Amino acid sequence: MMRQRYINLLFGLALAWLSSATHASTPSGIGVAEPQAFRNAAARVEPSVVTIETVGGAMPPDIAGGGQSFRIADGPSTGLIHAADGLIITSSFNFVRDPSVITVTLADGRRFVADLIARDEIRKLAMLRIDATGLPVPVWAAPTERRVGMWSIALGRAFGGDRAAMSVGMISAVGRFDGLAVQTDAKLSPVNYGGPLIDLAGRVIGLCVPIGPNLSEMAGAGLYDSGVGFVIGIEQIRRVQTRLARGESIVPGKFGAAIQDAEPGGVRIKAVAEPSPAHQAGMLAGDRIVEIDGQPIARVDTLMRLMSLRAAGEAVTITLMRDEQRMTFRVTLHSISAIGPFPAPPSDEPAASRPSTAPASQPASQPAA
Amino acid sequence: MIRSVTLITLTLLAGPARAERATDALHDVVTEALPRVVKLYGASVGQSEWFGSGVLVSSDGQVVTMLSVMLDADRLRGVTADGTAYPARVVRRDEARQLALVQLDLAAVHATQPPSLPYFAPVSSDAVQPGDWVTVVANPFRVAEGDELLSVMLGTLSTKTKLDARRYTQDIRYDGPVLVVDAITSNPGSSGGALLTLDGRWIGLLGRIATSNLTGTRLNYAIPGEEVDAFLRGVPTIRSVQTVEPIEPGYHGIKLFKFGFRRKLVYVDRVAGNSPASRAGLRRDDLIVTIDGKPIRRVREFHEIMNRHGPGEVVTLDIKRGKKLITAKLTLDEPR
Repeated sequence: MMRQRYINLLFGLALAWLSSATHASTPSGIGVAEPQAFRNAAARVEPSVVTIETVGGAMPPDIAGGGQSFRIADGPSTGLIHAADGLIITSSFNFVRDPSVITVTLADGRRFVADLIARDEIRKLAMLRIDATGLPVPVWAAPTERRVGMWSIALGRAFGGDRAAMSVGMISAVGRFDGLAVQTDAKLSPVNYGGPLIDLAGRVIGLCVPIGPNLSEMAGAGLYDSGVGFVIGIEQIRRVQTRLARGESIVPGKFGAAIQDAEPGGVRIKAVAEPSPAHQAGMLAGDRIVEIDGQPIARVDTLMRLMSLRAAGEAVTITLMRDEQRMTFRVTLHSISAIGPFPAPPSDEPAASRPSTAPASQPASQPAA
Repeated sequence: MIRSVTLITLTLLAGPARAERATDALHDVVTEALPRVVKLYGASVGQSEWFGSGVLVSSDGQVVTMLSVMLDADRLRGVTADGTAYPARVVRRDEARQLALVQLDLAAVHATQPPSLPYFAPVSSDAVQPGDWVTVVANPFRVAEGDELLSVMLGTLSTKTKLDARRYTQDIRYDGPVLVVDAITSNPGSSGGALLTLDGRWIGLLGRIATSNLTGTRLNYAIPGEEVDAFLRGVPTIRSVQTVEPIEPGYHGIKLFKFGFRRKLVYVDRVAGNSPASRAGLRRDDLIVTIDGKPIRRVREFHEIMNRHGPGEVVTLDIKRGKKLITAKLTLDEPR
């Protein structure tokens, strides 16, 4: 706390000095104070911003969306030192190819072989470990200090060189995706995915990741450079850092129900997979889900979006209506791989609506949660 | 050119009055800049006509823009800020810098007294550092037509780097320095527009739509002012005239895996006895990750780079052996 105040004070003084200096010496120097402040802020964090390079791996399909499409390229990507003893946090986007070899080059030029120890498919994070100690860990801004309209600067290593490439913007919104992400209009793209978004004091606001409306593996990357970018804050990273450091990947959680919109609102369970948390809890086809964790569920979209933020291993409270009776279930979610098939539908149902084991990432073909 | 002394300061420090003056200052800058950039219209592809931007560099209608085959149209024309459309022709092209000089035919419109047009002189991009504000004047998506003014945008200089990009599947020949900005300029129409400092100096010419080979994404870049200046002064490109002396590659003694799943990665299969590789301690199954700091992803890249080094030259390899990264320095021998 003291240290934070000290930094704030120093920073304020620096700004005041800059401002007076530019007034005095550069009569035509409009807009000089901010760029100097941007560079000073970047210089504080740059020692913690690493360059990631990968060799090998399969080429994923082109990424499309938001009017843009692109192929995963061969260039460097960005990561951020998370712990002095060799943990690097970055975006899982940088490893969609499942590379054979990953190297991390520190700001001081030392290069290491890195192990990808775990991914968080919900927050689009990845944790790497290198065999190093005494690494410079950056200072993070407290979540309570985020303000919409605050300057924010994204740093990325994709172009190589000594200095990180920067894109400047502001915080556009906080608490996006049910509190998962902070939104910025700095241009986020593969240039800086995995790198930090920082404030003017050189503190990390969040880690740049591609997140899109449907939260599938590469969703959001299609929105690159759009002015709608997302970062994961420290409170979200703290929720998962111990598991990631232990090598436990975080995958979306499912309770195992095929669903459709219901009248008069809510979501009807069409079928219950077996085995599944829903089956184990005694949920039945025909039940109408009206709330999850106390949040009203009006439509399939609402439910899918909310569930896309819940990881396997987490518990959720599902409230449903069975006939006129309101019932509440507490279920621990499983990964899609631990969910069994849906039973065959009754024979009078049209074939097109036959439930399948289609994963929830294909909601168009078969909504399942 | 810019008379304003207003300083844009952080909102923290700026009162409403100062903020208003800052707005005025930017307004002055772009007002000065707008008539110095023209709309260009060139050859047609099917139904659609090529369009772009160009920067005036002389009062008699010389315009610099990005080189494109679409400039070779019979109907090439440039439209100035007052909406006058002048016939135009390409007078000089520079493949290495990807620049073209276009002459607007002022006499074709004004037979007796051609106007004296406002123009820019390029300044070196040393005037800016990453993090500096930049403004952009161009005609993205040709939204400005006739005498409508061009579009202006605000952004930041992201970095200065070497261009490593392609158009569709073809690498762009220019591999010189570029200015990368975080304003979105990689769009139809912006090519040939002006990149300016916040106080109105012309530091770069906006490049064509290009895809970065490093990121796979659209690259928002500009050819820096010093390159434009060299082009205007007719300075030959060193890059284009340099010839690579053919050298006989030095001997390293490394034989790579050629078959099986490891084909694409650069694994050492055999190390010849008493060779530069054996003296440097290389072993079978070592994975070569970088040569002289550059990541090597394919066997082909290994050979391409090694073939550029002659006997006596030192090549530094980063080798992955187990979990460790080992650096090996090879002094190449005479060919065997």
